[in-house]
Amino acid sequence: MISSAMNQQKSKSKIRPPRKAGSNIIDPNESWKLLEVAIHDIQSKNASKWSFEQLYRLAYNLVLSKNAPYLYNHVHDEIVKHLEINVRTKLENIILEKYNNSNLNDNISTETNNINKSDAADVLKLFNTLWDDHLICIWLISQVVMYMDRTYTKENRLPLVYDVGLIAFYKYVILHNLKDTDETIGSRLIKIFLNYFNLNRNGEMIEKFLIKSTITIFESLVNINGETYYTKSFEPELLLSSHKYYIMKVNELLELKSGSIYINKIVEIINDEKARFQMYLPSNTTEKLSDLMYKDLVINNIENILNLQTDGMKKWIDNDDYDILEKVYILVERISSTKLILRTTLRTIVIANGEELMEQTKKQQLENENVEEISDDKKKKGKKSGKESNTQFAINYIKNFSNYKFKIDQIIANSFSNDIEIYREIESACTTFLNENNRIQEYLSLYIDDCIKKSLKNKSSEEIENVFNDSIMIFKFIKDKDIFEKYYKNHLAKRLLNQKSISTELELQMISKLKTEAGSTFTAKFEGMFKDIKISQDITQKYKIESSKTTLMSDLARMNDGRKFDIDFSILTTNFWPMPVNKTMEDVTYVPALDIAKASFEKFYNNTYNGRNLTWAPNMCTIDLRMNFPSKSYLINMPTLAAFIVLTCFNDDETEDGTKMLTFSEIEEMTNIPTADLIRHLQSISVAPKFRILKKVPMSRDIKPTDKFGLNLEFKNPQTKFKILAVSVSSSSSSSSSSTKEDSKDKFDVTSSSSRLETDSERLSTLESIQRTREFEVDAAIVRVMKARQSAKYQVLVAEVVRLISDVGKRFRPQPSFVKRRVEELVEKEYLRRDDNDRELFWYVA
Amino acid sequence: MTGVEDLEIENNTSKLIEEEDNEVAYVKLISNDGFAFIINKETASISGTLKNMISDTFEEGLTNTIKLHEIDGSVLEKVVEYLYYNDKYKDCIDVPEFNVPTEMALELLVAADYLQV
Repeated sequence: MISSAMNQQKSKSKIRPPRKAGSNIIDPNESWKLLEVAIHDIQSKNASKWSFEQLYRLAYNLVLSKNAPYLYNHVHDEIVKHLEINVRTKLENIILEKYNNSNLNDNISTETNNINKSDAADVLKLFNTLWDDHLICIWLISQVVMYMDRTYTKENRLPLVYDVGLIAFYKYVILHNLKDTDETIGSRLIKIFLNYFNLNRNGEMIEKFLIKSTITIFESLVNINGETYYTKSFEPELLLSSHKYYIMKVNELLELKSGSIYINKIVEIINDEKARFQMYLPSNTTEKLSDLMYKDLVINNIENILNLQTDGMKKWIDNDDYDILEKVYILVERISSTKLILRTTLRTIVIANGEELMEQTKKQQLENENVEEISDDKKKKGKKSGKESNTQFAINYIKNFSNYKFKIDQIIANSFSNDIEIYREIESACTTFLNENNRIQEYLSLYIDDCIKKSLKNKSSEEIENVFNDSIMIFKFIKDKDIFEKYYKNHLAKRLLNQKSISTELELQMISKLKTEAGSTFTAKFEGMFKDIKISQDITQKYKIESSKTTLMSDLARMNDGRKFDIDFSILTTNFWPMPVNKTMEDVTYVPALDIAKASFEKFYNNTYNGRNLTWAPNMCTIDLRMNFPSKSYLINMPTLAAFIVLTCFNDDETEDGTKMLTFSEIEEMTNIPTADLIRHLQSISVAPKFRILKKVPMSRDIKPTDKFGLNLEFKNPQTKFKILAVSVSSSSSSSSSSTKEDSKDKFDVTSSSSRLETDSERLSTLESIQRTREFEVDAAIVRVMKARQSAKYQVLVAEVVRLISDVGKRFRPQPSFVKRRVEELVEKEYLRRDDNDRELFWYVA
Repeated sequence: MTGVEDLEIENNTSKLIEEEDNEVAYVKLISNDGFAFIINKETASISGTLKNMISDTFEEGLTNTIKLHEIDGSVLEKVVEYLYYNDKYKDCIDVPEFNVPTEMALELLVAADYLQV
């Protein structure tokens, strides 16, 4: 064939064709014969022996002689023939040689060892070569017949010769069935390709160029409708195969039941895949495949993975595993903008952690107590009372929570790129679990109390700031802030009256922080208390200057065995302070010197502030008393009432052996101290072993009216200076049958200077008192709203009241039913009036 | 010193290569009646047909010679003149008119169509 073509060419090139082609009669068959040989030569890469001008001229003249359709069809047929005879056969042969039908048909994602890497590469290489050659052929052919393309093909809107070549390749090679099968060559090629591609996914080295160029071929193949083989067949297969691959990977990983391996591995796979997409695939496939990948790898499994108990989200948070948490965050952020999965998981974990925090604190407590017990045994000290340890528990709990919150904040900063939504979710979860503990307000106040009294001593301003900020953070989480106010007020009062704060600055700092957070109304009473203390100091000062002008002080000193008689006054404004005015103390018998001082101060005060009422509260004071026992002389700080007992009843005991004994009733008569208080104070100086300055007959915890008391001359204490605390209200009342029902409300025992967790009965009365305060607050809010509006619909009124108290006042969130009861109450009291026609409408009654 | 000499030798070599390239950069066009025009390949490539002819694949590409059986010398001269004219003014705005002799107009039209100018 070839040699004959050469002969023909040589002989033909000497013939000079007629100059005016159009005018000469041309035999199309003759011309075509030449062109056909030339095309064969082009297809077998022998074009160089042809003169382009000659071939071009042949085609040109054919077109000019109106033989274009003839030429077009023949060129088309020639291209097809070549594809069928040469290209297709070669491709078919190599495929059949490398793969017999049985082994490849459906197992794309099966194990790699089924696939021979080099076989696949060979097939794909040949495919690429054949394709490239084909492109060159049709390019050259289309150049030769360019004149036809420019005129005839365009005029008749036929595919250009080059496109004919592309379409023909699609139709006669790709879509042609493999010998003896019903599978097209194209689909087999895709399978081979995907096998090869998956080898790479499984970590094997492949020829990148082969992948890339093969994909380009699939993209270039177009059918007559302009659809590419890529979108029509390749892409769906690629997606399917990828899906199988992802599922296989996921199943492998899920079997390990390890969240961290899963997440790490998935991130790795995703990164590899992304690199692969970027390198090989067009953007819209990347998008589809990427979506598929995230669906298979992340969306469908992430929830299960995060919730794995042994190695899941919870563990990572416990261990501060920032790295994996960050990976989780990035994955979740990619699959959902709301990050709902992550948020709900976090929420569950944080709430669970909240419970653990409680357990952890209990455990800690237990351990500490054990340690203390051991050391206590050695030092022979009494065991800490249950209440004190409860208090410690409250303080520890708040501490632990602060630490926990700090830990979570670190995680948010390090792993969740400070995501505000996650931050809010965690805050909300914290709010939930903190408020599940209905004593959280008291805990927090105790914590602050402890800080201001003890733990902030010698701390840097930065540490102080941190502690306070933590406190404010918890304060924000707390729902019923009015309860907190109540406790804070109690604790603050004790600190102020007993001068227990490390410094006034600390107190003011905390209050100013609370003020910023909750508004000035919230802290008004705290500030009032401060003002009282300040003014009291000034007044005491002035009083002392004033009285130094008289002989009063020297008179008193004489009465006091010649020692200096010092006295301080605290004048408290009733409204600001948590304890009520207690008129029962008015009859108490004062020690003579104190009685004089009291009278002189009353006179002084009434001169300074005319018309003010002073009610004395000796039950809230302490006295430093020097007592000379046979063993030693002691300086004892004790509650004023206790000192009154000692001074009034036993100071005159001149008997050498302290035989003066008085019964409870006699003491009661002499001192006029209310029974309940008397019991408590007697208990504190006659029952507690370390502070038994009075002896009691019979010796027992309970105090009965017939019990007798006398000075305990055998009293000994290792310290010469110590402090006796009053027995707290509840512990005495639990033992005394004459329980003080009427003043169990608002009981405020300032003399027991250390603030501690309330007992259940105290708690109950606190809650009752809060309930009453709330009624006032709601009433006040209702009246405020109605006064401003004159009339309001019920719903509007309730909403506004809730807003005022909860959002503006930051106190608590009143239940609508509660507001409803108060509204009804106010209607009854004729502050409000229901509209005659509209039951829902209320009017303000001025 | 030796370094400088080496450099000079290299320079000479590169000059030689340039000259060789220059030779290849021209193509010979031969008209129907035997007139030959040697023109710049780049300029020749303005014609789509000529451009395809001088691609490596075919005989013309190897010999750097194109026999144009369809075109007379006089017409080819005008064509070559036009190609250079086109090349010279391809980036200009004010282009002087290209003079086409009336009697040659038809022949030129056919040639232009053939050559895809």
